[in-house]
Amino acid sequence: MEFQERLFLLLAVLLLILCGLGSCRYYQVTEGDTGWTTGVRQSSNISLDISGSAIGEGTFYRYTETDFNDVRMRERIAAAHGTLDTAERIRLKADTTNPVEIYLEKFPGGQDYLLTVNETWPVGMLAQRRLDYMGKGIFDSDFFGNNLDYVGASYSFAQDLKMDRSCLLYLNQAWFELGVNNSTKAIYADRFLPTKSIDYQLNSLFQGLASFKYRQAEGHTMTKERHTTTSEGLETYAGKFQLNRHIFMASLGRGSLNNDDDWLVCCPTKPSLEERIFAVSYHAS
Amino acid sequence: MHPRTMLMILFLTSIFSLLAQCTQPEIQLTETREGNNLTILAEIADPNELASATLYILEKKSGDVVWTEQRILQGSKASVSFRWPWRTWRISNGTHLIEPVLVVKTIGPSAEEAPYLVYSAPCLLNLSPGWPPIAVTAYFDEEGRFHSLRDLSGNEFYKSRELLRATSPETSYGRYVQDNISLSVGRSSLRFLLLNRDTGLNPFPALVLERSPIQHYTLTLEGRTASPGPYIVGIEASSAAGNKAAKFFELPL
Repeated sequence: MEFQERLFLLLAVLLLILCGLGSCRYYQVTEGDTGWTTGVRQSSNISLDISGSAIGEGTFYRYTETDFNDVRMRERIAAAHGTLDTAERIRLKADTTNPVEIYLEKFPGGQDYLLTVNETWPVGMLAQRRLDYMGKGIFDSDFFGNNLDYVGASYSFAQDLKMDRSCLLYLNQAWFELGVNNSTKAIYADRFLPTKSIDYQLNSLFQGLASFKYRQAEGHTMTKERHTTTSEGLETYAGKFQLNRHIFMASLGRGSLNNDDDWLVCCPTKPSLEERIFAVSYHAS
Repeated sequence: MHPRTMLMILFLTSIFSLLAQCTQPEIQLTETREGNNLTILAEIADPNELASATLYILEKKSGDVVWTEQRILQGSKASVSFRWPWRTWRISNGTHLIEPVLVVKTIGPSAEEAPYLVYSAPCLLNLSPGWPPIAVTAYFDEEGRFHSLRDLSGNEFYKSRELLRATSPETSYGRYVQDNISLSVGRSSLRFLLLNRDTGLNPFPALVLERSPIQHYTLTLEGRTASPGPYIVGIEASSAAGNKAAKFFELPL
């Protein structure tokens, strides 16, 4: 009972709500005095499989937006008159069957509390797209985000663009940890440790402007202002280039805190590209 | 018929056949040059029916054939005029370039196909790495855009959108690509040929088809001004009986 009272004192807001419609679920955990929050975490029990191709002459426009538990994909394409051959495949699966586990522990001999949120709402997404355009000009932008990490490329004013792109995103688990002193309201631990990965592969040939960017972040909480960038890059090109990139970034989440583990374990085995379904690299069936 | 008469007919036929094989077309050449245009007038005669005349322009030093043109002939005498615009052929897939490629003007395409099959280049097709090569001919229009790829039996591996529209306007190109084109972007490749005086036909390194069929695989045929020389000009004439004669001379610098 005492523990529950302290829990209510510490946590001003705790939401864990079933969306009511379909299988959508979301929650947000906020600590009232410090303002610490997990941010709104939202996902669904859902699967999506889109594939297709188009070939022809004319104009082309495309808008894609996906966001499940901060595993995100965004595409914007606008092509002026030209010849175009494109094929794509998007596969997505999200699962919110598991309960979100929230624990509050008090360390003896003081007012230090440790709040942990263990969320196991996995999301997996594979997005592949091939595009071959020649014409008056195309703007093509893609962005893939996975819980503070992101990678993306964009092409502008490209009269000639050939690209073959594949991105595989996984989110297995997310672990939030807040250590706070209930008297001083001082935060002594603040960690956001998702088990996640982005595997992005791009092969492109273009004439125009292009930029490529990525970031890998070590998170504190989901507030986007509070993260530590561990690596990031931005490249821009103007002219005629062959731009090929492969980026694989992964975090083991809570597992990376375990000092007993061999440090090599921190680098998960990269999935073999050959093993992937890469049908859109060639002609879509 | 009496057996002796039959033997006599057979004997005479053999004699005339042998005589016919011994005769070769006679070739007389005159050449005129105005700026970068070389005109070669060939007077060809043969007691039998003539079949064709072929012009070869060879680079003297390397022996590479930089230009060739063939004409179909009829009758026992013919006067043929060839023109060499002092150019050589090269082919690019957008990233790689080869030259001098063996390219000829296409003979006898149908009227509706003619604008798209102006030039033809024999080559070897590899549908996929490691697959056996197939002897095919690549066809280009006047601007050098790639429009068709056919094997010796006439099977078509690729047809451009423009050519499909001309020959089959009701067919959707997307459907055609899906159902008929067996070339695989990024995997299929073509090896064009170099004709050399000493080594004969030699395939160039493979040009991989990197782009979409709607972009004509970005395979382009380009004419380029030939180096100053020296060059050797050759005319080869053949008769319907299969006899051949050739005459060569060196172009003055």
